[in-house]
Amino acid sequence: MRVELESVTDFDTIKAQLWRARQDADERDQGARVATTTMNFVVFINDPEHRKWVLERVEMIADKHPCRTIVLDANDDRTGADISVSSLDDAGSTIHGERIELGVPDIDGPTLRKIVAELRVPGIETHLLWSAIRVTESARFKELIEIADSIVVDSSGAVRDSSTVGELAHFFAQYRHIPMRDLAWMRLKPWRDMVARFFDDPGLREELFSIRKVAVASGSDAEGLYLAGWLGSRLGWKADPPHGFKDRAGKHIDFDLTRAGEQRRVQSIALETGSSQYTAALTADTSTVELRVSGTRAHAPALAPLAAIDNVTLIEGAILAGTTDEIFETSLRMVGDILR
Amino acid sequence: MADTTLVGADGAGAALDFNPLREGLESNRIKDPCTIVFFGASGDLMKRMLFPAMYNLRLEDTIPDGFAIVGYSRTEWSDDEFRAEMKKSIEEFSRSGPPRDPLWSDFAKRLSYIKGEFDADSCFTQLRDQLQKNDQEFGTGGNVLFYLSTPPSVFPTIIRMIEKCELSPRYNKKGWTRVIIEKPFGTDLDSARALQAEVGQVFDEKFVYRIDHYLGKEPVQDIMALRFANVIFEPLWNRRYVDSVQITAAETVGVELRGGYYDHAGALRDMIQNHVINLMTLVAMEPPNRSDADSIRDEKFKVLTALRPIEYDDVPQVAARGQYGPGMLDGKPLPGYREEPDVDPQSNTDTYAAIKFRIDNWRWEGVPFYLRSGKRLGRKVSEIAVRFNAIPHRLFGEVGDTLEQNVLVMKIQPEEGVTLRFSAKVPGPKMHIRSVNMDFNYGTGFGVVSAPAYERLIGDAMRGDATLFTRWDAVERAWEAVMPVLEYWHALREKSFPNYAAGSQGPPQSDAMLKRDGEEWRHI
Repeated sequence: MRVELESVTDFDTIKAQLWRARQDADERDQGARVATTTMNFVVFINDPEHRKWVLERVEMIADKHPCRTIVLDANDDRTGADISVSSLDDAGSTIHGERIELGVPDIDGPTLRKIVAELRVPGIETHLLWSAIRVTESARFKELIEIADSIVVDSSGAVRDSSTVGELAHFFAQYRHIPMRDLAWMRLKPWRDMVARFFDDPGLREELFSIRKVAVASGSDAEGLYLAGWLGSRLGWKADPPHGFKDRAGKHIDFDLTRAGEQRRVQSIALETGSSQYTAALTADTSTVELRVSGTRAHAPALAPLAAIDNVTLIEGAILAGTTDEIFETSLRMVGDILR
Repeated sequence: MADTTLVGADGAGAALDFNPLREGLESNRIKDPCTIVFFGASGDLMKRMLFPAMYNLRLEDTIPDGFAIVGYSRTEWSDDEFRAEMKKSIEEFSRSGPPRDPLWSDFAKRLSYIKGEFDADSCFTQLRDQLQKNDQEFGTGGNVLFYLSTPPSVFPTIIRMIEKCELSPRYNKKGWTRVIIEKPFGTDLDSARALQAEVGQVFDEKFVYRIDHYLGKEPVQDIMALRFANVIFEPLWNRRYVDSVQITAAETVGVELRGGYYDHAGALRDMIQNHVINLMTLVAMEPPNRSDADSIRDEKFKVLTALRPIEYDDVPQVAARGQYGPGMLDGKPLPGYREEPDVDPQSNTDTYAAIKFRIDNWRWEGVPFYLRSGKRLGRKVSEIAVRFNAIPHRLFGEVGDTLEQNVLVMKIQPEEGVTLRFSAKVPGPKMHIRSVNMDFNYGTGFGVVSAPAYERLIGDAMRGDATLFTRWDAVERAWEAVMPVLEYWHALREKSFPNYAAGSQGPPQSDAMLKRDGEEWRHI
């Protein structure tokens, strides 16, 4: 239901239209009577290129988790409001999702915050998916995170370079312990697992202290930086800009980041110690990674499926995770040190 | 957070008893390597469910690096033919689509096949050699998981051969040996006890995983979440507030290609004795102290021990059976049960069974539990409906208003969720009262079918987590509970068969059973 608004803060009209949409559903489905809601799902978008893609994924999340979705669309051509409800089951007995989509191209941060505060279902969690070209530099971002129980960003969603993850690292240097998740970080879970797998054998742990080089090839920089930041933070390294780290004994570790392949995808990571090289690299079939150890610790290569973690699953994981993630935060701080 | 100070300050060689890269990195990967031996590897269950489940576990990186699969069956296949058949089964039945290289090739090289009778010494010796070979080649750690997916009649033979050929736990000095046993576990109390006697001689109970795939379904697990992750229901969950409980497992399908098996089983054996009684125990159990396997299974067992025994002469009052005749569903004519393939044209088998249980304990005294299951009913639905008592004193409502009792429905399939039915005032000047539903439906996923129950259950058995498997004492009690009914039905042929039309609500005898209690079944 399309509604022309004189102002996006005309909350009475928006709420009235939401109730009308419910009543229409009641008549249409002969029995849609109640709504169930697990969360408020606030989505900010200002990237016209990814708008459709993001909204499709938002809809998939809302299909699984009954919620009130509030889309704040800051693209220039968006005005007014679209209000709709949907029912999931055949009989239409339950209103499963409510969606309020507002055009907010020129709306400032405090007003956006007021909009969300007014339109959200009170008493349940509010999750913010920030899908914008810039992240933390935005005053609107700083306002919205104040009323969000968790925040989901994607530092490699719109760019291949390190600008967004750099912004994020800078932000985190000022605001610690924000319940934020970065999809670029979350995508790395299988890769972190594969790197960790090399050293699950206690006999190989000492190799962790003699790493001399880390080389990552990825389609966007955030992933490579995160992997290096994670290793550095776990192993007590210090950033040694511009191209490496120092380990706890002060020895230099090279860090080589190569941009290769599709955005948001890691191609390979290789660790070199004095005597061996540990490599996890995509095979020709990009759903499988070959784990190879060469040198004195060489053994037969193994294959690991690269579990397909789609963005919808990642966003869901971020929402369900709730609390802060110290491993992420320390890795991000290390990324900030690398980029400094 | 990792204590990185444990890393040697000089940066070299300090021994770590943990992997610092594992910190905060949850993994679903099964730790123990193993070989899984599937008896009945050329069967339908293997093709449709078990093998696709294994491959999906691999795709999700759940299976450890050291694993292998041995298929064992009577069908004349070579290793390569077995691999080809299994590849075909993935293409046809896996939710993840056709297998792709290099992962498939890596998986396929871990598959081997033994063609043999289930009582052939030489073949079990061959199996033992294959297990050793797998251990050396793939590092399976000496761990072996046997999966019995053969017809139940050969379970005892296989168990005996496992012992005879020194493949049982007592001979495994290197790793563990477990066994998954498909349902049905016996066809009655005596046969179940006889089977258990065989199993118990070879496998300690902690190594036995009796599978009931129903328990692997997400919504079934949700029952415990609803009860024990909320505070609002538990105070009402007792005889003071609950009037009755109805548990329904209704199917629209007939016996399809299982006529040969089903005609010797029937609905009571096939569904009530295991799936539906299991649901009842989840509804009726006390809160377990912990969430581990034995704490939960202890509580479920206690429910079964509290079931009031059904007296033989009472069977007609507390149980009802049915058999579908020809009928219509969705405008299509359907054959009667006796016209189905491999079914005796004079069959006396129940395709519908309903039974009333009483649980004689403090919590449930006086609350009837009505269980029913049937084939070719009007709708596919599995649900548990807890009906609460009527209000003690009517204050509201105009003439003609019906104040229904509150009902909490846990929906298992095809919808998944919870519905609470309660009374509300109709807007207007008068105090009209109307019942409304408060529904919660959880989507199963992002348009993707959730992991089938077999994936969950096989993974659990590989991990050694028996929570979702049925313990022998519970199996035995469940058989004891239904035996009077089985015996009565066996002794007395039901002359009214077929007594319900395909696509209907079930037999009138079932309705009459509830009517005697002043109750009625929920509409299917």
